Amino acid sequence: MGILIIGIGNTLRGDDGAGQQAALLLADVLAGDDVDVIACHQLTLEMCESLARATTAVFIDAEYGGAAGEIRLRSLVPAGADLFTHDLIPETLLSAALALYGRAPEAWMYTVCGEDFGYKEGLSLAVRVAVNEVAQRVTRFCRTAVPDAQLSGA
Amino acid sequence: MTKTITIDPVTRIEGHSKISIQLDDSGKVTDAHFHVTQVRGFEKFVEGRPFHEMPSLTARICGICPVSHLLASAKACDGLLAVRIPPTATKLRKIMNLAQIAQSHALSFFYLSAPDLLLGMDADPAERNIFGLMRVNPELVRGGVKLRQTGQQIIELLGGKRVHPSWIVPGGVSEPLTEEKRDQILAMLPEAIGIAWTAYEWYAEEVHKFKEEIESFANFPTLFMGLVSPRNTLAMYGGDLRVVASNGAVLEDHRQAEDYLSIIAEKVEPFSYLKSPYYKPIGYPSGIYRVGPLARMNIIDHPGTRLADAAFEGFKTLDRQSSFHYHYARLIELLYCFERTEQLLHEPDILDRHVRAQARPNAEEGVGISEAPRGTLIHHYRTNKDGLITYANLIIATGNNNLAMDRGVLQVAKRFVDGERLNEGMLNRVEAVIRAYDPCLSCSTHAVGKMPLEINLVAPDGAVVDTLTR
Repeated sequence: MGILIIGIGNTLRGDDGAGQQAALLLADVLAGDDVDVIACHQLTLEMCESLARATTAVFIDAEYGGAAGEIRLRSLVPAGADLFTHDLIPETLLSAALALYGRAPEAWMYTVCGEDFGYKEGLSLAVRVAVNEVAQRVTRFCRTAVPDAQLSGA
Repeated sequence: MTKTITIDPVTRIEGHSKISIQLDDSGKVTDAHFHVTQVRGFEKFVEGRPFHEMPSLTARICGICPVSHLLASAKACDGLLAVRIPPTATKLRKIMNLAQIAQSHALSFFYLSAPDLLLGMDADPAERNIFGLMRVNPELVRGGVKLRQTGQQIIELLGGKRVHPSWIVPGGVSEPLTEEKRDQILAMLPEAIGIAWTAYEWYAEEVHKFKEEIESFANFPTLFMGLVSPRNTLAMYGGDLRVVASNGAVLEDHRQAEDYLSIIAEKVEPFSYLKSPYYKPIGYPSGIYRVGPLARMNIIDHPGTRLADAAFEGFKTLDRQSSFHYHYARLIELLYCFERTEQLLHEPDILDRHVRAQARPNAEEGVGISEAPRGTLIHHYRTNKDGLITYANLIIATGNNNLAMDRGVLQVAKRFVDGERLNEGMLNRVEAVIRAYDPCLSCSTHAVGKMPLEINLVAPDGAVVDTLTR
């Protein structure tokens, strides 16, 4: 497996669904590429097997705080090993992949700042625009292997 | 001077609860209770909804076992339609239920309970978790991950998604199985069966190390209830109700779903939001009964598949009334689920395209019962002439075990807790007796972040005598 994309979020809580929405867009756009896409409500331990097989993992999630639609990007490293399996974070999942399968991929995390996390389906306008941009940036990486410029602060 | 110890929340279970332990002047346990601290209200707020929405609505009761609710609800709705669903639909529903039970059992045994079993009840809580287990026995965890994945993938292949699939509908299922998907599922099964057998063989050796826990983890006579096939083998989807006493006496045999109200009644206790069902002919609280893997092993003649039958021979040598053996029974059922799925997928009509009976409502009352991972699950609906729900009674698998869990907490606390000298291992055993039942109190409501655990020993004047925190 090449690249693994995991979009996380609750689509019944407004902008919290940003990660899932981005993953669904990418599943369409990248169908046929050497890319696996998972759109999920939350991370589960079973995903660490797929992670261990990937060369690169890209997580996408919503974030609370910040200007609506602001996109943040950071590198991830395996960390943490004492959390309950109900609140797994990407770093812990990478840590589990390393512990169980002997390797964890290079990994990044895109987050999109939301503004409305109420009980509703659908994203606010600013978040919808940001989700499209994240999808374009991830697609560009998948097709060119050039890391996102934001990673180096450019 | 009496004192109370509170364990709040109980960890590594699905949902939120607490345990209170009452001590006397000398620090000895005098009483203990298991409290479920959340209220859901599904039975009330579904009133007025069209009956055909019930499978989707009630599946939201749980994020771990939505398939169980889908099935029991769809069966109750089949009753409202008064239809007999196509035989292939029955087999496909059975496969999804087996996959659901397998993935849930894998979660319970490998993720939640194995840390106690492998690392020890007295191990440091910072290590006594799935990540601690990875360091000590990564192969066991990899096996658990693979088994859970297999169950989830079967559900996804059949229903389109792993959680809350909408494929099970009143009258059958919405789509037939394709040859490609059947072959995909069949290809996964040999590895899953191999892993389940290896885990069983390992645990069959390990179990003898837990003599004290076996003797005191809800080890008392109760009744056992569940569904059985006409030949008294495991029946996870269909079958009839059977109630058997600890001494093997059969109190109810091959009773139909519609008869459940003559067998079970429910009592409300002021200390818990979870109702306490009991066996009606004996009354409350003597009519205490257990459901789930341990109960199912106690009501059948044998499971009905090759390896599960072989493992059952080992079970028959155990002290069969100890709730500690829920773990053992769960491993037998893991084997059964994958073996039985293989059998069903080889049925000649499994790819038949007629999988749904169409009908308008023909009855105003329907009862659906199936076996969920944690035990017998009952959905009972009444509607008006327009098909709108006027009454819903849901007896959830975990609820059936409420009395046994409550009494089990007292037994294990009396055995292990010394109020003058609290330690982590004592209190973990009190939690572990609950964990053995794998209670699913509410999977769909989760605390944000890491759940704290604080155990206070409090004097009647409010002074905190001792505290343990996690």
